[in-house]
Amino acid sequence: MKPDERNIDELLKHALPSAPRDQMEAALDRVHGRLKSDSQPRVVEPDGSSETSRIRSWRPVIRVAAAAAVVVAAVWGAASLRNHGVYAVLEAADGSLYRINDGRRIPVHVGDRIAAQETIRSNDADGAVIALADGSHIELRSMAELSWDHAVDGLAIRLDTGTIIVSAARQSGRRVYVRTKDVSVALNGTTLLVDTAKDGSRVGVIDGEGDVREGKTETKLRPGQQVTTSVTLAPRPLIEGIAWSRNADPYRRILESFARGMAQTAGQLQPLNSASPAPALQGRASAAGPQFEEASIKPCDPDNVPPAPPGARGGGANSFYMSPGRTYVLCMTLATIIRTAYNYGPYEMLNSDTSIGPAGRGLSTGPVYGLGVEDGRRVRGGPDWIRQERYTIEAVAEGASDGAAMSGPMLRALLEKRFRLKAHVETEEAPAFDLIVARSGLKIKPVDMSACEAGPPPDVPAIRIRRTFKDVRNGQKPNCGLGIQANGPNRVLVGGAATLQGLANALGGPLGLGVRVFDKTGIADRFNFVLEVLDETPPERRIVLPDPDNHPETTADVPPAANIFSGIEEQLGLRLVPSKASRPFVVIDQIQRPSAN
Amino acid sequence: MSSVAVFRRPSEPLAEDLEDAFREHSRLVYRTAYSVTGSAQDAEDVVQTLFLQLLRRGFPPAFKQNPKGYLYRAAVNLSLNAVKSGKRRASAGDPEQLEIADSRPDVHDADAKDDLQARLVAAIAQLNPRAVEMLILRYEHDTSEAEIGRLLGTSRAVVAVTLFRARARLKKLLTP
Repeated sequence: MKPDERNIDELLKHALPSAPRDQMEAALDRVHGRLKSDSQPRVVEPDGSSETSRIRSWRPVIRVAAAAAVVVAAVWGAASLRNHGVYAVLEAADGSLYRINDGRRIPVHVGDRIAAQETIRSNDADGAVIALADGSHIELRSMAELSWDHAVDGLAIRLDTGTIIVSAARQSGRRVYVRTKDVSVALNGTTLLVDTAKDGSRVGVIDGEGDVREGKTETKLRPGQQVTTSVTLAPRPLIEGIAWSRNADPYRRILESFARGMAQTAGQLQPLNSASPAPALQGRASAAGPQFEEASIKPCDPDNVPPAPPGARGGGANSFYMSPGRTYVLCMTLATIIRTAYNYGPYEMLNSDTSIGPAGRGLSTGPVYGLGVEDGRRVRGGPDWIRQERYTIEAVAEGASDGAAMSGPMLRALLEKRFRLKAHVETEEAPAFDLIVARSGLKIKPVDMSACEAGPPPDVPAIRIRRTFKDVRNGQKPNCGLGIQANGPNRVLVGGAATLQGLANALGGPLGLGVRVFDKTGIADRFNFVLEVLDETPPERRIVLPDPDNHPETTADVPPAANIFSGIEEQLGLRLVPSKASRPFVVIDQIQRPSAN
Repeated sequence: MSSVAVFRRPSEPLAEDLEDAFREHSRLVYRTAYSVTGSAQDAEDVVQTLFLQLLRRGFPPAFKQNPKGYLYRAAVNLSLNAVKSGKRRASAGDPEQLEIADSRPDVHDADAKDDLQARLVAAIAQLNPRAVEMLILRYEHDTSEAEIGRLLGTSRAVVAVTLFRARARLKKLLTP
């Protein structure tokens, strides 16, 4: 084999996408179920209406051809198979879950489908998790009984009795409704607890926002807030109400962080100062600066994302890409676009200090950035639609403007012009951590750059064989820099001649703390290390990481590692201690839907 | 006729045969589609589309002659269509969960493999479908050149030459 061909050979061996087995088996089960349904006989009523018979067998029993009805059934089947919300699946169960049919209890097994309007009940000891086809999840506590059905603009969950936690997927124009006998809640990208009993119902929001309707009264709930429909229901802290959940810890952390004022709305926070600390960030200040010459702004459906622009491989909803002189915003909420224009990124640790991250450097041309969705921390005020409606923007600058200008002042000027945006910046105090050396002393030794495996030069095809944490533990050099991999329930951060500043940044963002971490060690040396900690990221913020084994059977037995606080002390001799950081945020004063292109 | 008429689709194949085919070959189809598209969602769509066609249209002669070869080829073609349609989402599941925004090279390294895979998927989509069939068999299914030849009805030499050319083409496509 020729030398240059060997690289491609290696690349194909290592980088060709390989299906995770559990994902594959789950997908095949789903497809099998749909095919099975599709092959069932249809019952035709004399008046011509039809309905799907109950599933009885794979082989149809009576062969009476009805060509027209076959066509109708095939069209119905094809449409329904690809439609949202046509089924639900039992994803996990601690014990037994039953479907109630004519008063009989029929066990439901993991992977089984749950049809619309079927009544489902968890047993008296254990809970279960049901996945809906739109990506939403319902976690049932023991003794809960519910059914789900289609709604005009989404799905509706009817909770007859018991307690559930619903994590509603964020969707454009669609909602998940949770209804009890006396209350209805509309959700979009929301996690909330609903508890209903004989006396009434209790609804509490864990994350996101929920619109609660009780009779003619409508209430918007935010994280940590709850309502009850009966005075006989004793007030109970929401944190206690979620203790039974398998995600209790992540939910507790979200609630605690919101309680500390980390992510409340502007009205409930007390800004440290109301004037902008940085004139350059003022919306009006950008008007006189460089501007885009042409711009196209179109509403976007996140379920039907337009193709990524040429050269922007891997783009999807919420992605942001720039080439010299051109900017593409792909299906982002306006709040996220505003956040980007003000140079605030999705992670606190990137942006609360202008010396690092996008706030200091701006985004650059070339990479496709996944910018997530603004969650209320960085953009406050303004109408709800700025957090719900998505836009795709293509803007062209005169000459080859650089990324920092286009993603910052020029994007702000575009928003001011087309969306009539007026905004100002305020700051608040936010939780943070300091990274310091533990009392036991540093447990890693300084290295120089020769201790890590440098990547290929830029003019060579990107055939970089990634060293896994297992390779490094077996004595091989790590790749230079920081890389994160999954190992069963854990996350493994591999450092190759990495600085503690880099480690602090990774701890704050990708490794899961979600707040700024300051390197206060005073150590400028570089280190090789492998840090394995339990992945405690809330499910809705979890990032899929490469797993070097990629086979569930090899990682299923991996024991949970220590949490991030214990792990960093035990493995590296470092400590995280709570501190505070100043965090700016944008307050919308005025905004309107865009003018025509 | 009674007041309720029950019918079934009259066409072949018999459901048991389809069940057997699904049990035997669906993993091959899924893994192939996943490797070509890099997307779990697309892979699931490919499996579903392929077997739904068989359910509704019956088994074509080519399937009866060589079920595995037919399904494999169909999987590659459907997958290439999916990639070229440009309608893939960023990833399966909630795209908002999957995105890391960070321009710094050190943290960005964590995404290097995903990025490389995305580029590889895009490059493979530009190859001749026949070359893609051989490439995926060779590198995803770890099939020998002789076995590839048998499965796809060609000689080992043709497989070797096609793979060589495919690798050369990939190198060109992946070189900045």
